[in-house]
Amino acid sequence: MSVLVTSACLRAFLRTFLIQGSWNYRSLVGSGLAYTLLPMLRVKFRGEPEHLSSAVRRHVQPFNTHPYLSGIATGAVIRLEEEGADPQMIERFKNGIRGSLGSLGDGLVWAGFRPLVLLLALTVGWLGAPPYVVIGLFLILYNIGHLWLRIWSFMIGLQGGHRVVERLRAADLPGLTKKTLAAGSFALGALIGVFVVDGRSLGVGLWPWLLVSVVGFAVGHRVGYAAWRPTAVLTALAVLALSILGLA
Amino acid sequence: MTVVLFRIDERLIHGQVVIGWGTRLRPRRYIVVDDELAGSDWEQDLYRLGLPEDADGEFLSVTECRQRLPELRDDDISTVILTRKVESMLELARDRCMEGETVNLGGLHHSTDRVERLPYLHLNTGEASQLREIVSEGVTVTAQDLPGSRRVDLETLLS
Amino acid sequence: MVSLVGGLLALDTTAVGQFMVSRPLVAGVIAGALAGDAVTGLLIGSTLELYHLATVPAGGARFPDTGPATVVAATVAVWTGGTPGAIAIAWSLGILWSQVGGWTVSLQRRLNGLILGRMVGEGGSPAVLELAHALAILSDLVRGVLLTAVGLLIGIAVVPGLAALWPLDSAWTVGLILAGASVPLGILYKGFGGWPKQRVLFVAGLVAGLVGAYLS
Repeated sequence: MSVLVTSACLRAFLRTFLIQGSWNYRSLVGSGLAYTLLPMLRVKFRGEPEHLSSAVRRHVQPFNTHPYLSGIATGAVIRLEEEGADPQMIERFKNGIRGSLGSLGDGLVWAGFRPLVLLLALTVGWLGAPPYVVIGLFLILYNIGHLWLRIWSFMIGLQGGHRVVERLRAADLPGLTKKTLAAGSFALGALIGVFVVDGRSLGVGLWPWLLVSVVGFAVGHRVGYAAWRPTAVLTALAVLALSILGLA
Repeated sequence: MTVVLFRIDERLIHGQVVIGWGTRLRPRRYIVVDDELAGSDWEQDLYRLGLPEDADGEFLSVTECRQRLPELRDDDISTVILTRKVESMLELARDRCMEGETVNLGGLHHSTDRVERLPYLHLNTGEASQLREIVSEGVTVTAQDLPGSRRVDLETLLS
Repeated sequence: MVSLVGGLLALDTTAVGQFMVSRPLVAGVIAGALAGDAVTGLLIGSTLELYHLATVPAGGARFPDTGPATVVAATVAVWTGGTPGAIAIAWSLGILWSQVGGWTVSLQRRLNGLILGRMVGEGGSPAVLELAHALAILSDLVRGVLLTAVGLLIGIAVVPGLAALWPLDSAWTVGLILAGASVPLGILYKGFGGWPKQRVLFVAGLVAGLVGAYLS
């Protein structure tokens, strides 16, 4: 790989941190993907402004991905553009991979890894660790996983091109997600255990809240995400009402 | 358990479907109905990557799915059926094959001939009339990207 | 200064980096420390985090904007003296303001669509694309700064008065907030697989938490 190409790849990788910068309902992160690919497209179509414009037009079309796995699409498209692949084939590749990157990333990171590390930090915090230790622990553990995922994604995309699917399958991200969800269940149980014993929260003398909490937990588990907004807003309004009633 | 979700979404298998609806409905099988994809193994491999570990994925042409629809609606395996085009869902619904079911509109994105109806839903005039045809086949059509979001019925959507 | 921090944390959520400094847990401590009391910031951040743990921003659906809202809640709680009333009312404001924030994120995304439609459209100028992308990031920063500033003004106007009327002591206040949090934690557990799939590890964790907290 020439120095020019390597440098363009590096800039494209750094731009994946900004891929959601212009998130919009027209193209989702399509404009962000085109922005991320630009350093490489400029090298590829140097001296060919018409071809460069045409490539930008192709890549601003609707696209979506989990940001941490966006390197897979970016790397693979760079590779495909480098190889001079048929634009229609690149389009079909992007359409095929976008949903998978979204669901793999949402499951692994948003639904699994992020709450797991947050639960650990919350438990440590509730047990009395100083604030900076709590957020330091969270940010370091979380971002080790985050940055590893970004770098790994970009590398396998760049190396695999449209065959990146084999590398992804070998990495077994769904299996990793399953382990993360299991670890999250343990961490959630531990945090709830701490709440029950801890005198500041649901502990001795506050059994009414404990009873309400058991019912609340069962309701949340039964209803699922549809119960989130009503619960959050109603609890907040109940707190405000309690103060206003205090006035009377 | 039957078909737990019929959804039109250009992204097909993705986070909203697998995490959002999947956590709620716990389907064991996702069926993508699309003539082009049914014949393209390498593209199917890309889409399959997004499936959860405990669910199977199948890719069927519209004709194949129509043939299997009575069996799928009566099956023990809970199934999500996804199309990326309104037209494909209409073909499935014809001859009242989906009577009593609900079609969920999950994501059709901007293009020059489409008008925004909701932030995640853009429709052209052809698609709007195809959706009305689906309704005339005894099917309810609503837009809702996630289980916790507001559900919008077709008449409100097109008014 | 506080509003600028809120704006920078708003960027972290989606537009820039996603290092998760915008999580309530982190934003609460940062804002609390800036206002002079990181411990109160941690309490506000932790209790808001318990609610937001269960939210997944899948596929661009609307989600609460936690960074600016937590900055507002933690700052106002500290400024109001960190009393149980200050914690309770500021926490409520944090929840409600995160909903307002989510709504402004949707507006921002519409605005981005307009910016891109006008500037880039179906044309393919790389320089224009870069400019539009930068403008979208800048406008998200401005959104976060304004959201934090308005939230702070509302907080300063409302929280001290209502906090003075708050009838519960510290333990009952935290108990009330945690009781409400039980629903989002149930939702989170369902997302992890719930009782049918994850009962053994959940119960093992529960026992470990009970014993660990009892011994510590």
